[in-house]
Amino acid sequence: MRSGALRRVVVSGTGYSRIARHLDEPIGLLAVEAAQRALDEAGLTVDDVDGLANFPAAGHAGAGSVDGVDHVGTGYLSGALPSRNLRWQASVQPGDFISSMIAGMHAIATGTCEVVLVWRAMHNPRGRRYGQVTGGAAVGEYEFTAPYGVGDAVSRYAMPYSRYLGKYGARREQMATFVVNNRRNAAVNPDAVFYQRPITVEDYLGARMIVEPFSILDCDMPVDGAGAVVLTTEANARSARYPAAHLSGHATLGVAHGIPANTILEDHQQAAAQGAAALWSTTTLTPSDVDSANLYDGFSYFTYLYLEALGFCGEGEAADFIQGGRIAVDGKLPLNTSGGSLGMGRVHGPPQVIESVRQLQGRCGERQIVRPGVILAVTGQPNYCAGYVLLTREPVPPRPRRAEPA
Amino acid sequence: MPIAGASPRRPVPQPDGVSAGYWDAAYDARLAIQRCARCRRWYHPPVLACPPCRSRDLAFENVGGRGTIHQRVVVHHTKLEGFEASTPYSAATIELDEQPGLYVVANLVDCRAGEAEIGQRVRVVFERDDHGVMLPQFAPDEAVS
Repeated sequence: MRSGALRRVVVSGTGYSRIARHLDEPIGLLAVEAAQRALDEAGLTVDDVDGLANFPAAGHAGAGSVDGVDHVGTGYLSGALPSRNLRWQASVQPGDFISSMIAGMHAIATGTCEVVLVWRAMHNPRGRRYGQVTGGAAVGEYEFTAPYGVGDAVSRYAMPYSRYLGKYGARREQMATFVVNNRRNAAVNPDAVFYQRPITVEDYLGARMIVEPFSILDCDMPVDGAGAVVLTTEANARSARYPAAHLSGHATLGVAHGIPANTILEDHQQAAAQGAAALWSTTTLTPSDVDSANLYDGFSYFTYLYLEALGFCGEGEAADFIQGGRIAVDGKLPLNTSGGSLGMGRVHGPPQVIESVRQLQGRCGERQIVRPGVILAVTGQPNYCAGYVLLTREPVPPRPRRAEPA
Repeated sequence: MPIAGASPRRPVPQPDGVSAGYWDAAYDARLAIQRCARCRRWYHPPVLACPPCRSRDLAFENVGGRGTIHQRVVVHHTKLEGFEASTPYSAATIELDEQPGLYVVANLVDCRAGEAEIGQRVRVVFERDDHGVMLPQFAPDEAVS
């Protein structure tokens, strides 16, 4: 595979389904809706798709396992959106939306595929079932946490956030700046579950505690919804409705430490630093080149972690860094301009990736930033194969590879 | 004092071949942690083999039962079956004195939810739950007579 140059890969189409707290349609139909919109934007047909890639895991503990209902994998989509020219598919797990994009990018760069469809669909069942850890035998990662009433998604990340606050003297009042900014952005994003529903600092500080130090406003809201992107070559992107976004740096890495059910701040920091180092090693770009960032915020704390690991500020400085208008749409580093996961709803990677592409295309209306050239998107949690990608308006030469051993 | 509202629907630890030594010791009111006989590193949760030396010569040894609160949460809205009537309750990641980065998770008992702080010294106590399972828990060190 060393012979022949790698091809440059772009995102030429993006699409969301409807996103709401509950929808009557199974998410298999929502994934098709998002995929069809992404293909329409790309100016391509279903038969042009020759590759499928996704992160298939159901979005919460205790979910069922029906493809098309509880999650949407390559099995469901290859049947529901049948392309006569399909010849490659990949499911990435552990992983996240960007991890699966990177699998698709490799398939195109090496010439295996011309057009890869990547999607993520999430389901919020009615009733109390979302994320419920049932009684009975506590096994596996839950053996040492569930008997103590912790280990669910909220408590496993509230733990490291509690240490962050204690170790660096950060305050919840500082996080209010971030969450209020997200909701301000979501309020002008018609795709967001919290469209036209901004909040105030007082709302944030008065919100009901779920697992202290996380209140309900530190946690993204479970939704039914899907997002999809079309990856292809520069040549194939000529049919697209909007200018394509170039993939100009990437990493997918999640070095595991301990058990997923109880994460540790220092482990998160170390794993995120490894992911960030891998990202910057693939590109000539540096943090100072980044015009805006969409950093995963399924729980608010993750954004602090990524701001620091990626080099935007030092360890323990994120809570100060985000103050003073810096992260607003007209600030020096606009952050999570879609509203992030906290504003758009729990659809995992699409609020980060699709927003980055659409900002580069200048399509974001009231939340559009001025002349963006380089946008960073990060999705997932750092111990569980997070994904990092730099999207650019112009192609950026990759960082020269190390010389081959003599 | 156990955290209130214990329910038979709570998750119960299910020991396996690797973890049985931990729960067996707890049943005798001892905190025992898995240790590599070759390099003397401690592991919790227990591992299949010691990653640095790949040894499978691992055994459970008693530890002193003292440590520091590394991380601490207060659960107000639980997703764990059987804990609904117990909220609010505290849980913490305790760093044991034996080795930096050696952590166990437990509830904080003998103090009010939210009272214990990060960095505070704690000591193991044992609590028998409704299933007859002995759970290692941690209490503020000065509260243990």
